[in-house]
Amino acid sequence: MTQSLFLVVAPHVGEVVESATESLLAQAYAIDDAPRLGSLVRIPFGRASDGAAGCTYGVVTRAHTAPVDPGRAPVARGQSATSLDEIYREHPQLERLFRTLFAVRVVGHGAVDGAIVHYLPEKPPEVHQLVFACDNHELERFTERPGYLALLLADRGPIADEVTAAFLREAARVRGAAGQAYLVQAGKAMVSLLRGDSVRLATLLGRLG
Amino acid sequence: MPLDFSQLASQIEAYVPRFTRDADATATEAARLRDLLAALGDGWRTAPEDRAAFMGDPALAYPTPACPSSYRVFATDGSQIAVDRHQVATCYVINVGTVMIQYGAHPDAQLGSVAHLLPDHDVETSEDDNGDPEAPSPSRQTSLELERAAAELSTLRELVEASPPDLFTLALIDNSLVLWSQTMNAEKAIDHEIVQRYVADLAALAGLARTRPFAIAGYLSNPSSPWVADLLRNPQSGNHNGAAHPVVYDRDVFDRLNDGERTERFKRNAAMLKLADYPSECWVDFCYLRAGGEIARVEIPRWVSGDPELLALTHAAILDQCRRNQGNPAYPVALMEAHEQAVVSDSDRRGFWWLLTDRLEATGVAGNVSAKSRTKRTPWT
Repeated sequence: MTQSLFLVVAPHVGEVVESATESLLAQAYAIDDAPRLGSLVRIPFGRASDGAAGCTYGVVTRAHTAPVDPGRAPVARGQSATSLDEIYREHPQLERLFRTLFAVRVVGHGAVDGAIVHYLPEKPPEVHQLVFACDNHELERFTERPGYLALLLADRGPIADEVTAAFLREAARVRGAAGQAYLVQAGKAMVSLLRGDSVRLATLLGRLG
Repeated sequence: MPLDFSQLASQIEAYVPRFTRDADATATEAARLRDLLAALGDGWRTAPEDRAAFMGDPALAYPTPACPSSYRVFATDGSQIAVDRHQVATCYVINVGTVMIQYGAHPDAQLGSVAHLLPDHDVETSEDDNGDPEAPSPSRQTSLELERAAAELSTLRELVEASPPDLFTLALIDNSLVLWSQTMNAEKAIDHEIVQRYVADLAALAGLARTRPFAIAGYLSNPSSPWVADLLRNPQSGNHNGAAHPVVYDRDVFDRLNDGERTERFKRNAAMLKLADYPSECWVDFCYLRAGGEIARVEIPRWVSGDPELLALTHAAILDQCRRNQGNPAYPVALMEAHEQAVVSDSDRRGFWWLLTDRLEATGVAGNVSAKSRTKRTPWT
């Protein structure tokens, strides 16, 4: 019996609704319930979710919540309420009228043989493919080598750098005492990748603490 | 060319004096009828019946009762993709928007829609060989409207039947509870297969109400019923339908209701309801209530209107629904959401015809999309 290469233990956190080679958009299953900014997610290939056909890895770069029907403008509901909970109790349908989407930057993929590589997969994930949050072990495994940084740093601008910094902080956190050494190693890799852009490098390094 | 508003602007100006005149005449007549209402006293007990009948003192107004903190509301509303003879097949689609909202200790909501593809009744029931088959067909339109109303009610019945009987449950539609088109003869209509299905569903819902705290109501915004106005004229003149009077709707007569108040109940005397084989549990009464800036007509079956507790719950829950729709006109929020769920966009409509055409062509059925329809898809310049 073949053992799954990418063991599925956590429930899925969303579903792909738009897919491209370098990025994808996924819908969360409850409003305001997107994965954290900078977190690592895995999207299997194929009809099964066991990873036997490989998977795509991505980093959450953005989340937003908006009406399901863009033609219906939301109106304020809480003038006489004392909390958000009270607003939802008074208007239970609101949870069905909005949806939360999150954007994912593809930063690598898992090959059929189980190896993790830090370059784009041959094909984007299928639409409606399930999106899984990676656990600490998988995050640690994905970030063993800093090759993912090239794809992550390809996005420019302050928000993109916030995402990179959040991802690195999490990668350090899961390593416990070895986390600081990991950040030093990642910093060195960025020095090489951001040669000629010292301002950006300094900003990024400043966000790793 | 798009619509030329400059052409319409001058025509609108020409209409304004007429509209103003009509509005003034309506206001004067409504004031006269309100005076008649105030002076009616016990006269309602002996007033002759008309298309409606008094069930109590029509001058009374009932304030909003207390609404339970926990209750459940269901609503359905339908829309359609009408028959289009330019398309590959003559059929139509009814899309019923469905809503369940639960308030109280365990708030919840379920929104959805149920689509039905139906064959064109008009093809099967056409009785006149001499008519132009391309001409607009009132019977086709009537069938579609009846089928839509029946689908709304049957879906509502399924939703209520599948729900637990723990909370007071109100089921709402935005139509009359009497499924009877003005173009249909009552004796023929009662035998109409769609009407029979509708009546069976209404009777089944009456049966459900014997096992759980449940009520159903039809909520009609901006109603154009003149039945009470006619009743008020009747004792004086024996005059029917306001033929010699300016048009006054009942909503004009009752526009002094305070927010949340409802009128006394009135009995509907639609010809169909008087037929011997129309089930008595489906008899319908109605009242008017003020929700925000509008007087609405609320239709309720006799088993609701005859039960003071159920009637009060219905009155309270409808107003609670309107209150919760803050930021929007006072209209039951469940009905508004059901409408939104039912909406079929132009894009959906095109998608449906494309899917049907594609499927029929793939199976070798010789469908024929008209040249006119094809030019609409690719409007060359």
